[in-house]
Amino acid sequence: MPETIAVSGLDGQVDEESILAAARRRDAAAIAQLYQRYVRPIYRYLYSRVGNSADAEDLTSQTFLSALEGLPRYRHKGRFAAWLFTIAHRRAMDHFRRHRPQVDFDDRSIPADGPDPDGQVIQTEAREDLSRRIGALSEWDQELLRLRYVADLSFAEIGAVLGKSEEAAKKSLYRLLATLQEKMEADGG
Amino acid sequence: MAEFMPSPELEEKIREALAAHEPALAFVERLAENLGERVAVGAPRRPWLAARGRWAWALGLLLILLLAGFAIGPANIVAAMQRLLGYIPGVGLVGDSSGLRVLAEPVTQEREGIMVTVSQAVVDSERTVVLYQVEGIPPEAYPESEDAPFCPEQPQLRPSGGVPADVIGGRGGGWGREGLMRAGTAEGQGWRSGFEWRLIYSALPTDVNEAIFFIPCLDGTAPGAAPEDWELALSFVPAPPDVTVVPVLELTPSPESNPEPGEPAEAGLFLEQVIELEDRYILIGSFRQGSSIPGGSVWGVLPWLDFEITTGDGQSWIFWPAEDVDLPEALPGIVPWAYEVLKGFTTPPLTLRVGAIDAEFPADVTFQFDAGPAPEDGQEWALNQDFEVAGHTVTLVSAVLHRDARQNGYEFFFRSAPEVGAISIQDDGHMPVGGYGGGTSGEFSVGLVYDGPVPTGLLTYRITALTARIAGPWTLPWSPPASSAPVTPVVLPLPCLTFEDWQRAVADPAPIPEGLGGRLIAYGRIIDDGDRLSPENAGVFVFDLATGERQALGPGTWPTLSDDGRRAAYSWSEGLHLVDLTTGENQIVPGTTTNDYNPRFSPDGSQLAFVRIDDLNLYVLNLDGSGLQRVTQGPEYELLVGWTADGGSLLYGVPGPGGISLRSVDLLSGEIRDILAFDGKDAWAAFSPDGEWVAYLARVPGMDYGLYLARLDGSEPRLLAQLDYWGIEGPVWSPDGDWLLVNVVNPDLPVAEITPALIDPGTCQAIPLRGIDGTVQDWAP
Repeated sequence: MPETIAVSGLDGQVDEESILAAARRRDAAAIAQLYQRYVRPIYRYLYSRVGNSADAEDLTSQTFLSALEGLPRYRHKGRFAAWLFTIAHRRAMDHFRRHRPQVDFDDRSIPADGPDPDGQVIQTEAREDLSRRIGALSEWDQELLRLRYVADLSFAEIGAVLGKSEEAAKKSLYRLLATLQEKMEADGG
Repeated sequence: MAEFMPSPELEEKIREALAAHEPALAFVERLAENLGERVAVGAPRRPWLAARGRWAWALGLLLILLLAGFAIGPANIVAAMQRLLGYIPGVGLVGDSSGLRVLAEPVTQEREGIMVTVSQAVVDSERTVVLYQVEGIPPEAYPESEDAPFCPEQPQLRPSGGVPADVIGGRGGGWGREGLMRAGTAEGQGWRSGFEWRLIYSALPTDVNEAIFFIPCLDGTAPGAAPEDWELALSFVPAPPDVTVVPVLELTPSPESNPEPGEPAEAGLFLEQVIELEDRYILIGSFRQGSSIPGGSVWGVLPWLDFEITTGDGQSWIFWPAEDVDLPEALPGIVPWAYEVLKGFTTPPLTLRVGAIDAEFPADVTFQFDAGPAPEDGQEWALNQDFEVAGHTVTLVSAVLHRDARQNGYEFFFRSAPEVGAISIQDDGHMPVGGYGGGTSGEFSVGLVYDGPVPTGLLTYRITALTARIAGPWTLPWSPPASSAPVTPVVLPLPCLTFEDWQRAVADPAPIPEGLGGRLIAYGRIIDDGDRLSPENAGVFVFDLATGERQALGPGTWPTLSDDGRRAAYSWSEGLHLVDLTTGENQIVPGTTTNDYNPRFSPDGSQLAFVRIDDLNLYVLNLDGSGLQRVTQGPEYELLVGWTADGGSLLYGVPGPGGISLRSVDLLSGEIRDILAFDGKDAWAAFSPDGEWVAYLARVPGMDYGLYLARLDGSEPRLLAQLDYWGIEGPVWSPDGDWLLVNVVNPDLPVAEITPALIDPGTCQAIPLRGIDGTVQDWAP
């Protein structure tokens, strides 16, 4: 059924230090601003982990609930996104421990852009090939890609989530991308 | 070998392969609503009331019914006895008093210094409500780092010989689908070293009076860091006569509910239940739109705008949402509410007033636009099409194509009358996976997000609904029952500086008083990149109040100045930074770490006090890193305020269930002395340079937080400033003690705007300080 879309909420960058200070005091407006800023990236990230909207919604709810309860203990160091995604990351890990194997990227049907049927077939194949390659990566490497390209985190934030330095996160990702590109080129991809 | 740099094309392919999905808007809104409720119930609990005899309540109810007839009108009273409801403070509404069971006695268990208490539990025919508290959780029980796992589990109620009590629905439910949440609803508050929760389960079977309250792990603690698998044996007994069960006066919708003249009589505020407690009333009712909004539908709690309660002489009166009254689900056109209202007003009636509501109007209007065969990212189409939607003219101004990870689809820009806040659109021919929107009333946008290819060519969209603000007001006058016990009149605090005063001060700012100068230190903009203030361009800087010159010190937080203004300190990732403001030399204080924050110089400038996150205790060390001394030992989570003028003690705040306790600790003897307690969330307090006064931020009854000034023993308190829902942060004293400096936060803007301001404690004159672009945290000569 087609989705009905309505306008809601705020969508903008915020001065997180002051917002977080207010949020730690359980200021409803501040919490709402943080929520509006992060709910979609968190959901997208979790969806990319679990592959279905029902679980992604559950885990998103749990992430924000935990964050709300944990806010009084959170100290601002310019890493709120990392903190929040760490909670989401842990929620996803707990989910897999309790439930089912993680979704594989190559299990998905990835549609392609464009109206050209021939071009679409080629593009779809290319994407499916890339998806398979990503699906074959280690969990750590997949997580690197998700945090960078689904969650849109900075390298410093990725480092904080994965317990690495900013430089290490950046080098790891670039090394991974170089390898992926090299293999794709070698296979004519 | 040159460093590899991924091409934008490769990165885009990876984004596409990862195929991010957008959440459904209904989910986003529902979760926002749930979080909002969760925040709302975090307000401090009111003290429980003295017990009344349970079996006296039926007689009391009859008496109230009789007497209430004089105040509310006999026609309004229904047979409340048909559905005997009672109210137990902290537990909420209970039914069928004949079968009520309560906890035989509170149950407490202590393990490793942590105390868990089930203080109250009540079973009626529909549910079991459990109130429990935890106290004494040491800081080290919480995860050391932000990326460490922590306890997500809620307690279970395990009936003797049975399976765990079922999850029940209702407010706060729906957080987990697969039994991840054991409780149907959960409300509560925390104060760092402890927390209290109200949990709701399905009713225990009538023949089961024993149950285990099982806590797998304490909320938020790290695995294994605190005792786990708590089992508290609960015994239930029939409610004895001395249990507090307050009668609930049940009313028919009151005819005094009146929309403004000209509105259909069916719409408006309706009062349905009244509970009288010792110091307050609980009013429970609904807003029912009736036939006053043809074709439109008020839905949920979000439509509430401009709600207030005033006394007969027009004075705003104190009320707050009833925390433990579980409202029924909102239905289209019916919005339930429950408020607690303070007793002590002298001029009835109280008038409940809703200024405006948002209503949704269904529509079915189709529009088309031609995106062409190969639209490009960022392409914009000027459309300028007018539609009639639910009686409003809506102009589709333009459309823009976004092709990025977050917005893969078209965004439509609309313009309409100011009362129109939103429309809903639908793409019947394709499958958008999500959407977004925003803007101000009268000018807003709606975006559709597609998974994969964005549709192209001639596209057809359907407007399915329009949301518009309906101006009221709707009012409901109510007078307390004549049976109400006399209460001492309550005089509401009047702030010396009000929101209106502040607005006038901003509109016509006074100059900084001649001769007033010194250095301010702030967290704010240190990189003038033209972007909004963000962690990327913010840091610590010194601002010369007389000249306006800025001296950026670098990225960091929690800045402070020595009393002579020659040194600065702040916290950042490598440890505490110490800066010589004359030479600019910036060094890390040896022995400090990333987990040290909120440094404060001793009066002679030779030492720093700070908080160490590892154990959330106060520490002192010399500036060269020597002489590290742990000053407090926990288990409270101390919040540093500063030093006493003689340098012999530290001043700090301790959060607890009642707010903040300000204390001092002697550095030599370790003796701790209580100074002042107030209803605050953070230790935002500042002691005057002469040590005579303390300025602090505390909750103002019936309002948000305000700035108080009092003597150290709490005497002579004055409410210096209360700026409605705008925030006040700080405060900071001027070096001579003549001025207070606070940071005023305007929460209305997408980027919260912070304006430091001077306040004269004597006259309450406010002088906004422009050009600082940050939050001032200290002031030195």
